Amino acid sequence: MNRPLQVLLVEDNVQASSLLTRLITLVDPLVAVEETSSLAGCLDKLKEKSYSVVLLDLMLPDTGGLSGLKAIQDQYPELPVVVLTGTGEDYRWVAMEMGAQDYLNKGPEVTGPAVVRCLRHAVIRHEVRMKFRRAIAGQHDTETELRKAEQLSAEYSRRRVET
Amino acid sequence: MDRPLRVLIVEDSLTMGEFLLQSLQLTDGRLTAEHCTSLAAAVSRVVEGGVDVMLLDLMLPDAADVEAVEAIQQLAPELPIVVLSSLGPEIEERVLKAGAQEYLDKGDHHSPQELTYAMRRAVIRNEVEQKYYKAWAGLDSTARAVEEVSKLDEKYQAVRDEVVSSLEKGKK
Repeated sequence: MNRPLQVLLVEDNVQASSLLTRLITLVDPLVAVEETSSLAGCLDKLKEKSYSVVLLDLMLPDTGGLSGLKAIQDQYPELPVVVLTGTGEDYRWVAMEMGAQDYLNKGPEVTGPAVVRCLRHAVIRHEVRMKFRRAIAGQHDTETELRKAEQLSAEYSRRRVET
Repeated sequence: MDRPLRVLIVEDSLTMGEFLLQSLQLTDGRLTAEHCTSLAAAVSRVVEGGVDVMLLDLMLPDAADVEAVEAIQQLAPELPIVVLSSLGPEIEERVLKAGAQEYLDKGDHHSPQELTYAMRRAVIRNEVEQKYYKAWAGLDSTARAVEEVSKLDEKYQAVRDEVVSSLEKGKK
């Protein structure tokens, strides 16, 4: 799992944000973290460039609860998001049901190795999902080609009978 | 999170399997667990149905490395798998790429609650993914239908142009 990763960290507490960035990059120097402190900042950054994964605090100055997650998913439904929160267990399962890749509770769950593993796993799962998507598209292509071949073969048989 | 959860523990050590079974059921009142010790037994149990998630050890008497993940994925791609292994972090990417939802290292000494959380996360994530796959399959067929219709439309247009031009020639 030694590929570079671009992480967008959305956290309004500047001290917590820079501490987390340091923890992450110390554990895995191949992970590059960019920080922003609001949902608006996050959406602006996502417009500018693509990231491997978003690490999202739920309580931000311009959003609260799960609205931040929803806003990101509405605009970027295929971008993996890992929720990082101090709100305890309140949103754990709902956030997952909404499509968050993972849910980290600020506190004992947030160690450098755990966060890095969580981010990397989210990205790998996302890649597997995209591979499935391509497989689904490929399957449909094959089905269409088969239908065309069947039609051609029927047409050929019909003409041969006629001649 | 009070949904019932039916777990199949696949672990060749009887002691470890029994310990997992008891501790998981004690930790989560909505969880029921069964234990089997080989891939063959796991396959038979999965075929019977009624399993929501599999907690899978990788070192089994009849499967090693990621073989068991691949076999179960092939048999039941919609069944979420949480791997609990002592093979170390070098195997986790391969395990996830083979389709497992989570990789947990035995060396990290996960508590029963962490294990139940991992399995519940795996089930929910898997449900979301299945929804995505269905939606994508639907989108793909719609896109192809639109494509077919527009091709037919082009053919119709060409035939119409041909008819119109031959009619015009006739007039002349």
